[in-house]
Amino acid sequence: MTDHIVIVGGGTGGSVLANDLSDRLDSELESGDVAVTLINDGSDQVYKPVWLYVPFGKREPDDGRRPLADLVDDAVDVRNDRLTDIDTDSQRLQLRDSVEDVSYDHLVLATGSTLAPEEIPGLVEGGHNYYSEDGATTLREELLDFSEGHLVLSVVGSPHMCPAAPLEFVFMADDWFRERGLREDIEITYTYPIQRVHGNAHIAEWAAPLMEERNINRETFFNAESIDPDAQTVSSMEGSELDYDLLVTVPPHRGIDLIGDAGLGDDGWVDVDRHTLEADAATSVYALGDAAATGVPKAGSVAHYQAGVVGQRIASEVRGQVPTATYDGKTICFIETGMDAASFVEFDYENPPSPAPPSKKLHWAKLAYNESYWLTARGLV
Amino acid sequence: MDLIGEMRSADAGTVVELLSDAPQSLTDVPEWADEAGNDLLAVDESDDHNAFYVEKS
Ligand SMILES: Cc1cc2nc3c(=O)[nH]c(=O)nc-3n(C[C@H](O)[C@H](O)[C@H](O)COP(=O)(O)OP(=O)(O)OC[C@H]3O[C@@H](n4cnc5c(N)ncnc54)[C@H](O)[C@@H]3O)c2cc1C
Repeated sequence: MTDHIVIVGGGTGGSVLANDLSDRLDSELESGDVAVTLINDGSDQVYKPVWLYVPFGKREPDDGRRPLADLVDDAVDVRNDRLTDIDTDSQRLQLRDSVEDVSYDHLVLATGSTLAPEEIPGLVEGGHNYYSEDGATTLREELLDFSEGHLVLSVVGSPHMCPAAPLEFVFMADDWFRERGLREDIEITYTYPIQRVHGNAHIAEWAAPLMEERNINRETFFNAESIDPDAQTVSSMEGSELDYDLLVTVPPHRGIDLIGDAGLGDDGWVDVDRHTLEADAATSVYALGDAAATGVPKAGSVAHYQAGVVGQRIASEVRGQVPTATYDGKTICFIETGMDAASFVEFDYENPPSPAPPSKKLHWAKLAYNESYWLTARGLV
Repeated sequence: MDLIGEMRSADAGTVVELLSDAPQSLTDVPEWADEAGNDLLAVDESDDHNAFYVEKS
């Protein structure tokens, strides 16, 4: 009998895993003992880190797209369809465009994050973002037109993708306006949900003086509750109010609803063991990347490392061995501190981050990482 | 931060339980609850994690 491994989501985590499995299980795939199917709701993979650069005219949205068929090994069956229901008892999946169900022996959910701006009244009308392809493109037009006034970057969603990206945005905006001789006429304010500028105390301690130096205002303990697009104000749960001329937000994030419907976790995030990445509520189900509620940042590097762990575990299971690979919380992250300097952090469940001093070299390393990303997705790096 | 997300969708009077193994939540949670005007009803400290009970005002 063929062992059927189904991966849902062809983003960073899903495609790295598909290639990892095709490599690890090549003889089983060849003999037909194993089949790997990757289901994604679109024919392209979208690489989101590119969007940070789009508003500043440094990248085009198309730089963040590649056909999945070019990235994933031919031994993997890539299907362009959308998962609509999971039955973990009968181990069957329903897809939007297929009449027949798909049965699985091993299921991996790598369905990522989606944005839910409608959860905050006024946010859809009043707020811009660079957390979506459309958002980043529209924001580019707004920024080009913006020559004076108050730019507010508000972190609304928690958790959200790439915890460093809000800091990066204000550092880059500061530099970009300076280069264009406009900074004196533009006030920049950064708002954050808790009492410091970043969830991680070590990164917050590093970033706060840098923001002070760059004249970026900080409003902490600020959780946007509603936005008035006409009056151009943001009101917070804590009772404060902020005027803006241009509002950029990191909107609320959710996983996909059917994860909750299947009883796998809340808000679309799958509850998992944070070391084995196995779902708490069902057997033969793993989750990785943004979709897995591990408490580590929602970052591509995390999805990449977790894919290696899940690949090893599933390969062991297929061969009747006890899986031993575990995820240790490893996260790496480059943090842009302007248009031509960056810092770097690395941490895991046991060891806290210690940001490297910003340098040009690290900025180029981040750009090189983004360039070579497509090799990573193909399992070559 | 997870607590704030839960509190957003909770109705007034709801008590949210947060389990955390991050030592910094021992200071973060009381400070935020105070700032946002919510009541921190209790904190249960144990060896590997702490439990916080916050009531939405
Ligand atoms: C502006 C920005 C900058 C970032 N910068 C960085 C960075 O510098 N470094 C870093 O490490 N990370 C960064 N990230 C975060 C990173 O992009 C994500 O954490 C990463 O993409 C997560 O990978 P994933 O595989 O879990 O999900 P995704 O890459 O989001 O992939 C999920 C896939 O699942 C598909 N899908 C969803 N639901 C279904 C369904 N029902 N059926 C079929 N398919 C489905 C989606 O279409 C998508 O293709 C950034 C993110 C943003 C928004």
